[in-house]
Amino acid sequence: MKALIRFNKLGMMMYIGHLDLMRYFQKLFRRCGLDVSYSKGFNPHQNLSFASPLGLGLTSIGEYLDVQLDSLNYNGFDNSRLGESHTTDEWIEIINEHSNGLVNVTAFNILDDSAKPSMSRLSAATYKIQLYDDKAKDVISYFNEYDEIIYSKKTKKSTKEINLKENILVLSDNYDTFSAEREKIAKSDSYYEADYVKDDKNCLYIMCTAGSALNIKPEMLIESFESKKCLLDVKYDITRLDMYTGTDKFTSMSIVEKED
Amino acid sequence: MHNKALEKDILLSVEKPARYIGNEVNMVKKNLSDIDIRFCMCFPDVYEIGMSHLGIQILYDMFNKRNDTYCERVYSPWFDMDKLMRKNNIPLFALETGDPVKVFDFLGITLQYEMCYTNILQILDLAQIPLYSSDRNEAHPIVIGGGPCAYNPEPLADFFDIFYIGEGETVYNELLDTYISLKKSGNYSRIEFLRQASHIQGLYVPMFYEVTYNDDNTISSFNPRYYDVPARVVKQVATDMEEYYPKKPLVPYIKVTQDRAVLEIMRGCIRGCRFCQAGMIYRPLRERDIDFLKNAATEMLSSTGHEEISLSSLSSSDCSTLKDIVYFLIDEFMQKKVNISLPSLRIDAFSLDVMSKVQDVRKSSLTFAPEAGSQRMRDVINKGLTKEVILDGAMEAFKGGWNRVKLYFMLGLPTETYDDIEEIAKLANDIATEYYTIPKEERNGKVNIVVSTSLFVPKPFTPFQWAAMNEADVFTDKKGFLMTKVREQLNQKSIRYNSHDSELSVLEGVFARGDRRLSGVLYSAYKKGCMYDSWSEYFKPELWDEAFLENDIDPSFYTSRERSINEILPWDFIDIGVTKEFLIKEYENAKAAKVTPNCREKCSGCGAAKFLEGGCRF
Repeated sequence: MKALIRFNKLGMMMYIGHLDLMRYFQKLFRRCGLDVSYSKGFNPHQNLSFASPLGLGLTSIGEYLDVQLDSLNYNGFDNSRLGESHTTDEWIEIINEHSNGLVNVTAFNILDDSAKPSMSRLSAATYKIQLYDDKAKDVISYFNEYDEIIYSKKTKKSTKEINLKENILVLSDNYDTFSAEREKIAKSDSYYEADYVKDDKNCLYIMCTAGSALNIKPEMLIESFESKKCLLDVKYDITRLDMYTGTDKFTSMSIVEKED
Repeated sequence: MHNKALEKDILLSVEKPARYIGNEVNMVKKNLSDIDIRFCMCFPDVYEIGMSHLGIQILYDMFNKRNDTYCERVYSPWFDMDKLMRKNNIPLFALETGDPVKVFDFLGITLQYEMCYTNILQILDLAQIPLYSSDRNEAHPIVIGGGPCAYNPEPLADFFDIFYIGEGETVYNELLDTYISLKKSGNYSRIEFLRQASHIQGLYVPMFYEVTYNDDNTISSFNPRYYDVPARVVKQVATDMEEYYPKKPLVPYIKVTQDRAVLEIMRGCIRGCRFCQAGMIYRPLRERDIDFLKNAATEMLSSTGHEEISLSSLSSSDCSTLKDIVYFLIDEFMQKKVNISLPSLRIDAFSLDVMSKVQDVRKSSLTFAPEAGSQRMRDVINKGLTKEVILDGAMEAFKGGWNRVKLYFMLGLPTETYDDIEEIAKLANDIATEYYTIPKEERNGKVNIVVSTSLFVPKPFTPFQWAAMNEADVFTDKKGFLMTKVREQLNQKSIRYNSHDSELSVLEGVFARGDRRLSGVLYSAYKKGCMYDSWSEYFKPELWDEAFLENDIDPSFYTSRERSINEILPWDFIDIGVTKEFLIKEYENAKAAKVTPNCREKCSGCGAAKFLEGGCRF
């Protein structure tokens, strides 16, 4: 069975890259005895995949992990517990007990077997940028002032120009405004955000295009404003809030609608 | 305490920030207000290597079992972090709390190989602790060294306050209790504490000993300065092998060298190879109880989630319970998708059976360590492995589908001739020839043989502790000769040859058998920028040459001459149980190419049995 796990990645975990985070989850699942499916062969491994790797230095409260399970039964090293069955809610608790307090599972959904990988369903993401300066208002007014904001993305061979204006779907320095604007285009799951948006002084909230076709990173916005001098040398922290799927109407990945 | 090193702009500018953030799974957390002793345990190499070391995990677990002690860890910062710490005046910090190492009561440094000595100075320097023991006062941590290189601590004598000689499981509690009671008495002074420490068996406080030298630079006398300080320091041996074992080892976030659970099945070795220091210093042999091992394996895997477990010992094939434990691991854990990583086992029906179960035969290779090419040479080093055994084992394996063979040898062994070296090439060729006797249709492609040579470094407490070591140019010459001989073989296309660096091995030789006068050389080399010498890309031989010159020390004094049996050796004050008489006898046997039976075949009375009540049992 396919499971989609929502988790957060807090504090010092911002320094753990996504390959290491993958290894972290593999070991975590083995510690708690989750019955993950393994590949065949001499080096069997768990097939896990993230919806979108999070950059080094960022924290998140809305990460997603696809994992293939054989069952919801315990299948760990304690033979006396073999076959013990748990609900997904119980598994959340068990996993978090075995984790380090900085990676916590917040949702655990079983998907239809036909569900595509989250990575290919991803279409948008939301972020909170905490600025350590009072430049948030300047950013908003700059953003509104220009018709296009071009970010030049350098790849090994060429430079690609991305118009951030088109791909930043919502931008605000106030959570309530952001939330209201977002509601017009997306079905969101603001439950998880509540604790992280209380104090929103000098903050920017953004919703932007994400996924394999075009992935906008909040750092791009900051860099393009650095060149406009309004964010030069400003310190900041970025937290990913959530990820969305869908094209016409975005839906938070933690909202799982069963097709019947 | 605020730690600037853990700020985002610093951590994001170094290669692997996870080396410095701690918080690994199974990290011990304690409330500092409940703690009397803060102990910082250091492995003076990069995080990925230090975290792979079982000994540190054993001691970390042992210290933290004490309610009054909090043991934290520190590893050598990599070059990028080193630079940032110096630039920003950030003191070296422990991973658990992020607090500066200099505020700790103890800094324990493990001495696993000679080529980490400059890293020790880096650690002290970055920690802002005076490098020389004599410059430290009550405000500084007590710096303790332990581990295999502590069996000749003399080159490091000036930098350490105490050396712990032997296995860590025995007298640390006594040392910490002494510290606490002295602190509580209100009469604590560094010197008084060290004096009391020197009375504890196994602890060596170098400042309490005086060394004088003869005109030819050999040692004339080595004596305690005070009547109450013992003249001989007796190594420590753990006799209860089930007392300490880390059932919850730390699980690093980043991939480390040994990314697996490690099960130490026994300590010590019955073989008595004459070049091998571990084989002597870890005597007598102590096997762990099979049920203890089974439980430890299960607990470690379930507390870490590691996907691999490996066995550790000096010679696993000699462990009487090996079959039981290996089949247990296979039966119990293979179905739980745990990889079983086998140590190099003697190639026989059993090892081929288990290897075929746990490895992909096409991808794995066989390992033989004949250590020498000719039978005469193997008799000299007491490596009881014959050509027939190697060829038979290889043939069995070839029939089972293997076609990769790794062969380990040493160059520069005592009495070695160029004929002995040529035998290495011939042996490799013979193994290839053996492979091609198998009918073509039954073979699995070409055979692939890798010959590796390390360069023999005589070590203290081995029968070769008096032997001369080859000079760097001789090694280079021998490597060239062997390469030529390999290329002359009929099956040369199937044989690859690689070897260690000559200059690095010679420097290792200097420090392995050096004395106190080398402290100055080490200090100069570090000040010139030597660090991470064991990483060949960072090894700077020209700076070491300068350091020797400036200190007026001829490195060949320590390596190139055969020492007299009567000479006072810098490490003679240590009693490892194995007697000097035994080592002398073995040196003579070596010269006569006479093999000594292993401990199971016949006791040769080496002296180590005194550590076990009732002696060794086989």
